[in-house]
Amino acid sequence: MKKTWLTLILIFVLAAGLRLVKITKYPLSLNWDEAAFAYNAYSVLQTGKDEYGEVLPLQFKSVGDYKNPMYIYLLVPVIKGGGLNELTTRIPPAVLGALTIPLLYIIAWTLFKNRLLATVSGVLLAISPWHLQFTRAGADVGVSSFFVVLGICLFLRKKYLTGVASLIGSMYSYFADKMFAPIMILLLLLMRQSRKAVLSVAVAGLLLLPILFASSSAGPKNKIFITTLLSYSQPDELVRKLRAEDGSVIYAVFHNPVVEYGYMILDRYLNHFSPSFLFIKGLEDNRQRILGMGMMYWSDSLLLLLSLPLIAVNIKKKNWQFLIVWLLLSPMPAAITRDPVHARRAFNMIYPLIILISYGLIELLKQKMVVKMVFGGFLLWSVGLYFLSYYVFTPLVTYKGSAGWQYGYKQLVEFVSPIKGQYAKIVIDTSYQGPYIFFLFYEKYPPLRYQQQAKLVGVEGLALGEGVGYDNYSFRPIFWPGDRGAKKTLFAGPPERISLQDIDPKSAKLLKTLYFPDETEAFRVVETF
Amino acid sequence: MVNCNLLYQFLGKMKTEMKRQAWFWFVIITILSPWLWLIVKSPRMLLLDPASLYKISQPTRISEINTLRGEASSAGVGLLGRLVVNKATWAARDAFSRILSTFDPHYLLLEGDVDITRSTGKTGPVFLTLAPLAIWSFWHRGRRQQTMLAALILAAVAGAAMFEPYYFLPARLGFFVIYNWLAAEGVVRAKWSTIYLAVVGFEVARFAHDFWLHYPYRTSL
Repeated sequence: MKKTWLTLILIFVLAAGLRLVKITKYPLSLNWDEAAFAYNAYSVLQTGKDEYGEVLPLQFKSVGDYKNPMYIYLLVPVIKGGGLNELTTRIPPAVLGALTIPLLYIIAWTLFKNRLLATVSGVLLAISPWHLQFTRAGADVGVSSFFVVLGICLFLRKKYLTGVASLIGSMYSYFADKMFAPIMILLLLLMRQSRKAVLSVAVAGLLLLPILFASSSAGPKNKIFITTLLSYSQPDELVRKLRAEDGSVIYAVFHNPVVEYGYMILDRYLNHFSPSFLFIKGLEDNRQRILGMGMMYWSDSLLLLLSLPLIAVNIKKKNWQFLIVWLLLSPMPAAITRDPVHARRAFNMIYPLIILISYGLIELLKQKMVVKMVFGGFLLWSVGLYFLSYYVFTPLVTYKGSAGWQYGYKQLVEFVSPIKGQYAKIVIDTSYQGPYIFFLFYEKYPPLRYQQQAKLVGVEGLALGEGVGYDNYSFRPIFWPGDRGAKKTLFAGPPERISLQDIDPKSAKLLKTLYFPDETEAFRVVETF
Repeated sequence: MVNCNLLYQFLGKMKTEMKRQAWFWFVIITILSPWLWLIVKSPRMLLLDPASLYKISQPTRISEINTLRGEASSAGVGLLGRLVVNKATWAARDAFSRILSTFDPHYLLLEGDVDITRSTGKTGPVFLTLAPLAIWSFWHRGRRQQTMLAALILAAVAGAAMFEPYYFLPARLGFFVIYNWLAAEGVVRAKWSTIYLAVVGFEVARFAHDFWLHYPYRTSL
């Protein structure tokens, strides 16, 4: 017993270390979602309302979309204790992420009664690139996933009521878990088949009502619509062409919505099991990307392969069936969304995968010394590549814009904020998206004052839009030929918006140039007089 | 390419009637396979162009290695950079990724190669609906046979490591043949296959309709 506790503590320390070291520097800046989570928590702390003056909402209207409430409310006490800053914003997912590791240890132990497997699972999750990616950055999925794993853990330990409550808690944290958690509850019920468990689901199910009610309003419904395949339809021109080539009967047979959507969903679902996604190159999305590798270590591919025969041998056992169904269910929320593959929405895959590769590693340890040594070299190379990529290579390519880490806003606020009183107007270009939330965050702007000025303008492709401005700030696209005539105004925008040749020294002056990590220009700050 | 002796060895475990049926389905499946139709339509794809052979010394690759090593060096971890990113590790990584890419479901089962002359873009080189039969068949073998078959599959796709294009079809033909054989065996052995064949039939019809009615327009663009 004492040994178990010691193991758990050591694994937790390793996990916490990897998640907390240089957390404000890697990823290299807050993105707009993180800034929005934190500023809304700050707003709740100061006023009891969100940035738009809604009292304790369950859906937070913010940049780009409607955000789930759990992460924001968890941030409130952290910001109360540590202030509004990058560290406090990223602490909850990092700490909950580290706490998930002992929980996986307990799950592996409960399911397989194998101490070595449980320990290896804990260690491999602690160093998992996929898990580190979404628990180091302030991602709501890192919070949500903790509740999923806690729920499964409690349920398997026969604490049904708290287990279901925790799984429902994940539905308050992340969009994809609104679909995953109910399916997981059903799976757990099927596995346990106990009357007490059914009763617990019925009672804890009451916790669902508020989030269901909040999610059914027009805004969140629209978010679901634009995120999922529901909003996808074939272009009219293509439909006309296919009809002309097919004739109406053949068209109806092979291009009806069931076939078309069926293939799209299947494609998305299967993509989550592709070696390209898991091991080779991961995703193009800069916030989910680790340059030169997939979401798992290269060496995990061999371990996974080694675990496959074990699945074949053990598939009739209930614990193995649970593990495999868990894995197969996890990408389902991602399969119905517009992106071909999505590491965040399929995040729950990582846990069964880790248990499987742990089995693979245990199998490998039974092999000859030469095999072990060759694999050891492969493992060391894979881990070395990850740490090099995460800390050195990836930040140099993933810094830009809303699809990346939106680097540069902090430096811009630090420059602009102290001199903002000198200008009649300050115009910040919106090419990199969401500047208003960064100005609110880094200026720690009083939420009560912002609530009176908060206004959004629609932007195509976003469920919501951009904040228009507050005080003398205006957030909009800069059109320099038209804007340069404005007097006593400060402009900040990317080089493509403000050309150096078009800055007339008689009426304007370049005050500062801010740079991205690869030393290309991020912002030009120009004043007019 | 496929080692026929091994196939016969597997066949030897089946009853004669079953063996005949498996061969029958194997031939039918192979004749209907998208990869075969594509080869028939564009046989030139089988020709090996020396330019398509993988070369570690390709300028873009060397430049990538040098850039990454430079970045590691600037970050003060030059030695680690040199150990992790060098010609040998990068060549091994590329070879491994080309082999693994064979099993990308998007390529194998749903869309095939991005090059429109090597794929219709609407189905993979093998049929998606045959995957459950092939997996079933693989799963129901003994562990020793699974290991041998896995080694055979690995040998069949190893050639992919030698070519520059990611989804070079001719280097994977051996694997497609094994896939078809496993599916054929699944048709004969799985009790549920009779009903399931209707689903396979739909996919075959869908492929045929796309191949004859839409694909020619896409390739003419």
